[in-house]
Amino acid sequence: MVKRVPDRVPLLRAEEVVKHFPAGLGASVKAVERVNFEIYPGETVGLVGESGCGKSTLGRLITQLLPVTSGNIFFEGVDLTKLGGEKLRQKRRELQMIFQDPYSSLNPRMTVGDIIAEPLENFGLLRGRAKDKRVQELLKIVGLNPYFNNRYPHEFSGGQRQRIGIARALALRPKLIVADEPISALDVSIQAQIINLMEDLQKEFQLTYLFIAHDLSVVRHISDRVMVMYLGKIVEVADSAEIYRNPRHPYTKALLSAIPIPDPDIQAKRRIVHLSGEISSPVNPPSGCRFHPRCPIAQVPTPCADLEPPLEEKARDHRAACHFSEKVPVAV
Amino acid sequence: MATAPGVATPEEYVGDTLAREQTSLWADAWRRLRRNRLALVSTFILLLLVVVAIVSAFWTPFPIWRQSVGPTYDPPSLHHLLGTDQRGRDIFSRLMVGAQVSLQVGVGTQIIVAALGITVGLLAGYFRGWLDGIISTIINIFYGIPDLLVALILVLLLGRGLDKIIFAIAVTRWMDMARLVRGQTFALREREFVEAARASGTRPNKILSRHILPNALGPIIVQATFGVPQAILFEAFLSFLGLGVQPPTPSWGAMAADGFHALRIAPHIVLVPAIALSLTLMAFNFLGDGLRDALDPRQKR
Ligand SMILES: Nc1ncnc2c1ncn2[C@@H]1O[C@H](COP(=O)(O)OP(=O)(O)OP(=O)(O)O)[C@@H](O)[C@H]1O
Ligand code: SF4
Ligand SMILES: [Mg+2]
Repeated sequence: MVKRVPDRVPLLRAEEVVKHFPAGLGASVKAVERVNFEIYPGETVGLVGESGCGKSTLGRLITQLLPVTSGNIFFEGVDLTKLGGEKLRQKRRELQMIFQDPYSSLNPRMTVGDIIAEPLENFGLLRGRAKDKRVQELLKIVGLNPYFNNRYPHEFSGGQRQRIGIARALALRPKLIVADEPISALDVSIQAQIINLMEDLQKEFQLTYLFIAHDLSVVRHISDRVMVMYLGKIVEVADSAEIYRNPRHPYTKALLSAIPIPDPDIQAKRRIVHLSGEISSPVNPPSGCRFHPRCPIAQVPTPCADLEPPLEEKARDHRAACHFSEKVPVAV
Repeated sequence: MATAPGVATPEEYVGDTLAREQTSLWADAWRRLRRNRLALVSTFILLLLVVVAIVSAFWTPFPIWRQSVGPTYDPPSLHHLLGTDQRGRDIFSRLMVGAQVSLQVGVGTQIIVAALGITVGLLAGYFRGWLDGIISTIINIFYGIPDLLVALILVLLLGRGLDKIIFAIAVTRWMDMARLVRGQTFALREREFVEAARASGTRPNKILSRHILPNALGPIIVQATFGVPQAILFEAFLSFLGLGVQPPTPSWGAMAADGFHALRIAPHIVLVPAIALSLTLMAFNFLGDGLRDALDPRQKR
């Protein structure tokens, strides 16, 4: 595992990134709210949180598939939010995305070969025979038969399709790949294969991953660091081992205790933290700490309902946004 | 478990077996269409119509322009299969040429409608914003003005040539297509494969032509198929009013109008073109239904 060296230059840095979607009548969905983080070269950052907390939106902001409402996203020192048109298009070579749904992410009217060749054509990288060779090579790299390049996506299984999506993302030799729940639509037996493939590719091509998932068990294995998101905010960031051992935010704790442990003795002794209540609306997020209506250790109204806890260092390389992070029980 | 993809030997490819047989989506649709009896019969009727129209360009039993090739108001007989009209012209011959006119009007308008509607719909649906605002306003204005009024004004301004009539009808009929394509584009641009194309640096013109248009083609074909009989009927109506294709070119609508005053003594003059018109309209509509069922993406997956 890559150990983080504090003074390394980040590959990507997000500063005060905000995304609001208009929701009619002057209201807006606060999908991402003043988010700050870094991604370092060669690491895998896991991004977890419940459905609707803004993970995909954040992924799409990083890859500039959506414009930010405010804030900056620096990629190798260049602010992506200030780029437009051709300059942004050129940058896309280094920033690729793997999508959640292997069915809707491949154009049903194009052959697999054409799908994988498209990124190459967009930048005029290879032509004719050389392009075909590269496409077949990419198919081989992701473990697919190179002679299936003239087949259509619907002839493939979900796992095979996700491999096609990965080959497409690799075609431009990107530095950063945002993988938005790349395995959640797949059978459990296939999930491990895709994770292994992504790990092998990371070593072979020095890739950096932002790996999005909605539960912690999936990212545990693959991530160097984990970011936990709740209702548009990052509530905890730490090294992967650290966050599982010593969560400093009650929400992370709750996510962790939702992971079943195979050993029934340990499972029985665990202090399961149950979340009460529904996830709050991102249109009208709760005041103060957004988690307070569901938090088992909240002190309302003061400070939890009127003071927003900053995301601050609680231990070395371990940040959390909670007024009472020392009261969060340790793992298991 | 298949791992180590970088060093996979061919036996280890997880992609060596395919989940489904190789079929293109269009082949699937064709198979479904063939199972639909009505659509199949309609296709044959329309093919026959096409053959008749082509033949009529080179040969008709009697010259259609010349009057008094037979007696006037003659009922169907062996000599004049469908009888003669008030000027003693052979109705069968005129019906053949009328097929040519109807098909040209129907297909011609739909080509213009498709070209205009697809372009406008793709632009509005993909770029949205102010462009969509302008286009949607124009569409609504065109919906607001009565078809007949637009067509009449254009025919009066441009004249009554076949090409002018086709243009005039297309001008009243492009909005449905534009709206359909706009809606399809709106939905398709949110699909992940379009996002994936943008993420890999695909330019908008290629996204529209390679990703959005091919996936909207099914509904476009269905819409155009239903548009053909509408245009044919509209032309027949204009001709019936005496504002259609310039006589003596026979249009089914004009032929029916010709016989109208003699409906009692020689009903065949009205009935023959009316039946031909109805059969053609029905065939196109059944074909449209068949195509819609065959191409419906909801049945896929
Ligand atoms: N294009 C959009 N327009 C309006 N609202 C949106 C849009 N995209 C996302 N949202 C809203 O923003 C919030 C965050 O959505 P997002 O898809 O980022 O969540 P997510 O964490 O990826 O959830 P999931 O696990 O279900 O994928 C949700 O409330 C969602 O409804
Ligand atoms: S700040 Fe208060 S409400 Fe928020 S997580 Fe910590 S204890 Fe719970
Ligand atoms: Mg998502």
